[in-house]
Formats: sequence, structure tokens, C-alpha cells
Amino acid sequence: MTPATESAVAQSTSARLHVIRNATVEAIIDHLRFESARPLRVETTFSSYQPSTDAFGEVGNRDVARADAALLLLSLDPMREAFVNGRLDPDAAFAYVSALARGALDAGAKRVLLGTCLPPLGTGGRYRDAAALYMLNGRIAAFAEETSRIELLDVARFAAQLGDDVAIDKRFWSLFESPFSAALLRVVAQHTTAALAASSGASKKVLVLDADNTLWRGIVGEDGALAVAISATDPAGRPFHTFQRQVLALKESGVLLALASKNEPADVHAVFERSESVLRRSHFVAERIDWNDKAENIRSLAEELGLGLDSFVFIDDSDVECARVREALPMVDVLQVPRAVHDLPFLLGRYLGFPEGATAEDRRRSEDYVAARDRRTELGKHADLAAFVSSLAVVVSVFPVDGATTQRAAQLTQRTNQFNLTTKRYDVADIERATADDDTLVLAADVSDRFGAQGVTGLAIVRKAGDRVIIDSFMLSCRVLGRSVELAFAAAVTAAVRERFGAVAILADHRPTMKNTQTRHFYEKCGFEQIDESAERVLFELAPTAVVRAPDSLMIHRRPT
Amino acid sequence: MNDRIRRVIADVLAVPEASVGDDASPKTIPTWDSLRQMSLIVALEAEFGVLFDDAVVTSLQSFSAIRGALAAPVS
Repeated sequence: MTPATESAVAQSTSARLHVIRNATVEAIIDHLRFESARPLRVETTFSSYQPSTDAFGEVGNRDVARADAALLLLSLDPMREAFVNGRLDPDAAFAYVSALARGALDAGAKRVLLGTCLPPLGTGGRYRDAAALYMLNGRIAAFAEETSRIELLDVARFAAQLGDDVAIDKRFWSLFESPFSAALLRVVAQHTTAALAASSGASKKVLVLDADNTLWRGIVGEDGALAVAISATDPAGRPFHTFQRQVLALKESGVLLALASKNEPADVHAVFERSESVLRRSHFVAERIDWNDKAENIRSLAEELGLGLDSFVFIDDSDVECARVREALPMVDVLQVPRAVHDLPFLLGRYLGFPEGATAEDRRRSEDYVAARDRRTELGKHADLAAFVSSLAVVVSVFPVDGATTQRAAQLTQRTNQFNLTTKRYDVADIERATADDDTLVLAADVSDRFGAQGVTGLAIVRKAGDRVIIDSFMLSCRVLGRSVELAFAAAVTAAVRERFGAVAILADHRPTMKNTQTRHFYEKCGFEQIDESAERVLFELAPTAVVRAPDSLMIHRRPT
Repeated sequence: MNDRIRRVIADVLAVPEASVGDDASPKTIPTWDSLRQMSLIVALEAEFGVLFDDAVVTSLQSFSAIRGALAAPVS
């Protein structure tokens, strides 16, 4: 690693967490340090023991304001606001909890991880106020679902899985006001770390699946496509059926599916034709069904999809294949099908590498990659790039980011690694600030062609500084690259800059990382001149009179800025 | 037993074993705060396979108090 990429990595893997609590939960620090799946450095601060909805104006304000995330970890027992005449009052409790969450956002926290509440201590199966508790947690969950920048952390569910006696430390509650046991805090820390990692661009995007004894019970090449067990009504097939449904749900949330199986392709395809199979061949964006080494196949899948290997997860039942991939590709997360197959439906639920939130673009991502494959087939028919692009009828729409596209814009900064000139990560709050600032232009690109619309896949942030402007960020999702879209976007962005700020010199820099090498000479291709170079950045300038020429082979549509 | 106690205290409070003298207490070791106290209880109980009585837990604020509690019969 060069020093430049090292600092880029360090920058993207540290996070500030502010815990808003009403009990002693400091032990979570050790778990955050120890349990993080990736080298994510978490700096943790804590609220007072009686967090008050108006205290954010005074104490604690600085910690909340600097926080990448605020974690609300509240116990009902010390929460005076939650009880009326000794009984849990869901309205009062929700009013308090939601005010704390909003208060944290107002005070400057970038996002809030909102915990659900455990039952009051000593609550048994005939708890009279069960409805009140479910109502409270239901409202907390709905509030997180419908409020931007607030995400649910279902602490009550974690506790239920552990069991009351394990999740609650009665003795430490009594002695130290510390009701959450080490076991519970560990799970909370795991989920918190995963949520923080997702916004630093470290989440997984591709799931590569083995077929035999992973998607069904049996070996299709020996047993035959009709004999492998896959049905929900068959005890041998039931775990696999459930697993397939979970895999499909992951795909719907934006994870790309790929196959890596040692088989004859026709055999595997025949199983997906069976009516009992939840998964269809069309659900997979790419496949490697052959007798090659699986690590090599995963490497070639990464090339085909244009995604880094560190965004891959691999699932296989074989010790040998899992060990081989772990050794050859340490950046790939390898999950092994449990030896006790009835544990298979619990495999993905325990894995935290895939991102939780999903935008419209996420849900459509899989179709986009299939369209990209069709485009490549089309490319094969055309001798030169210009003719190919013309045949696609590409339209690039460029428009200012607004409320409807803020979340997607933030997500692009967090997830785009390859065609990203500066790799600066921003969250929704940052983007909101930038769009509100008169000296900043935040532009997005929406790309479509005759194979389909691909949604918001490009983002540029341009800031005015004195009599010049600088392109702070410029990125395109790799699935729209290769059709001159990058040039068209640069042309539209520079034209919009001139419209807004006049005939100014435009500065732009390239900050090298391990992943964005392909962008090193991009600005030169656009007509910028290199004016400075150091290990961390290469600086370019576009003279006040120079323009970026857009290719004729595609259409640029600019909506007013 | 003294050395085992010393090792656990040093480990939890992140200080060299040599700095845990027979007079060790929150007064002599700055990292010995109320939060580390909780970790210390957990670590001592795991090391010696005991469960301190509630009344004893809060009093375990020095090397000698810990040694005394471990020497006495515990539940």
C-alpha cells in the first residue's frame, strides 16, 4: 500500500458513535473494539444517565454533533417518562424515545440507530401490559422505517433470541445500574459495527453460491435434476427451500447473485426449471458452471461485474472449496453451509455484511447487470465504440440533487469505488447541507438506453472557492461505464458550472486509491491540464474558455439547475 | 493466589503486573474506575470460578479486599 491509499482506507474505516442511554452500558466499548467484523475503529462517547430531550442544546451537544451515528440504547425501568400510575404507557414512552432520536439528529448526529425496548424487568408470559410493550416497539420500528436517517436496531429481538436470563444481568443491574448483559451488548455491538461499516462503503454487494448441497440437497450430476431435494413439503428439501427464499429476498434488496458450481450447466439449469425451486436462472447476473478452480472463477466474476472482490460473499458446503477461497481470496467473506442442514435457514440471518437499507436503485440493480450483459453481447456485433453507443440510444439526464434523490446521492458516495475520482464519503446530512449551499452545486446523472433505465448512477459535487471552482467529487456507478457516459456527464457538469458561476477556471483532482486507477487520466481525456502532482493527489485545471466536448453518439438532457 | 489476582487486575486495568502492589487500589492505579470495577468482578469470578455475594461486590476496591474475599468461603 502506498501512503496515499493507506490514509484513504483509514479515513473510511473510523467512526464516531454517541450512545444515548439511561443505564450503565460502557462495557459496549470493549465489544465494539473486539467484535467489529472489519478493522473499523469506533470512538465512543456516552450521554448522561438521564438524557433529556432538551439537553442537546447544552451538555453532550458537542459529542452528538460530531457523531457519525447516535445509538439509542434505553432501558424502560429507569425511564420515568414511560410509566403512568405504574403501568407502561406506550404513547408517553414513544414520545420520549422519538424526541430523543429527533433531538440527536437536530443536534447534528448524521444518523440514529434506534433500539427497541426490552420488557420491564420481571415481565412474565402473562404480562398485563404486553399490548403496551408491543405497541411501543411497533411504533419505534415504524418511526425508524418512515424517518430518513433513523434506522432500527431491534434490541428486543436480540434479547429474545438470547433469552431473558442471558440478556439481562440482574445482579449488575442491581449493583451497577447495568441491566444489559455482556452477551446482549456483544450482539448490539456487532449490529452497530455492521451499520457503521455499511456507510463507510465496506458492505457486500455480490453473493456467489455453490449449487449442489447449497441450493438443494443432493448432487444433480449423479441424482438427476428431478431427484435433488428442494421442496418445502419434503423434509430433506425444506431447509434449502427456505434458504432459497432468503436468497431471493436478498436479491430484491439489491444484492447481486452469481453461481459457482462444478457441474454441467444444463443439469443446474434444469433444477431451476422445477416448479418447487424458488430461484430461477434469471435471478443470477452471472454464472460459472464448469470444472475450473472456484477462486479463479470468483476472480473472473468480479472482473465481469466490474466490482471489487472485497464486495463478494461466497457460500459453499464443501470444506475444501471454502478453505481454498478463504486462502486465495482473503477479502471474500466465506460462509459454509452448516453440517446440520437444519441450521441453513439461520446462516444468512447471522451474517451482517450485507447492507440493510434499500433504495429503488438497489432493488433494480440486478436487472441492470443483466441489461449490461445484453449490452456486451450487442457490443460484440459492432466494430467500433461510437457505432455501438449509437445503437444503444443512450440518454444521460443531468439534474440538481433534491430531497427525492438525497439518499441515493449519499449512497453513491458511500458505495462507488472504481470510477470515483476523490472517493470522499458523504452521508445524507452532508448532501443536504451541500444542496442548501449557494456556492455548491450537487448534480446527479440518470442514465437510460434501449435496454432499460438505470436510475441515478452518477454524482458530481462542485464548490466555488474565490474566483475558481473545484470539483470536489465526481463518480459514476461502474454499470453505466463504457458507453461514453463518463464524458457526457463531465460535459454536462462543466456546462452547468459555467452557467451557475460564469466563465471560471475549473479545478479538479484525482486522489488515487487501490481501486480507482482507471480514473487517473480521466480529466486529461476531458481536456483538463495537469497542473500539480503529489502522492495524495493529482490536480487538473480546465481553462475558463475551454469546454468539455461531449460525444455525439449519445444524448445529453439537462434539467435546469 | 496473590500472583493470579495480580495478573487479573493488571490485565483488566491495562497496567504492568509490577505496578499492582499489595496496597493496590483505585488510589494507586488511575485506570481503576467504577466501570473497570465491573470488568474486574467478571474477570475475577471467571478466573477463580466463584460468584461473589452482592454485599461483597461493591467492597472489592483494593488488592487486599479481593484477597480477603477469595480466601473466605463464597457461594
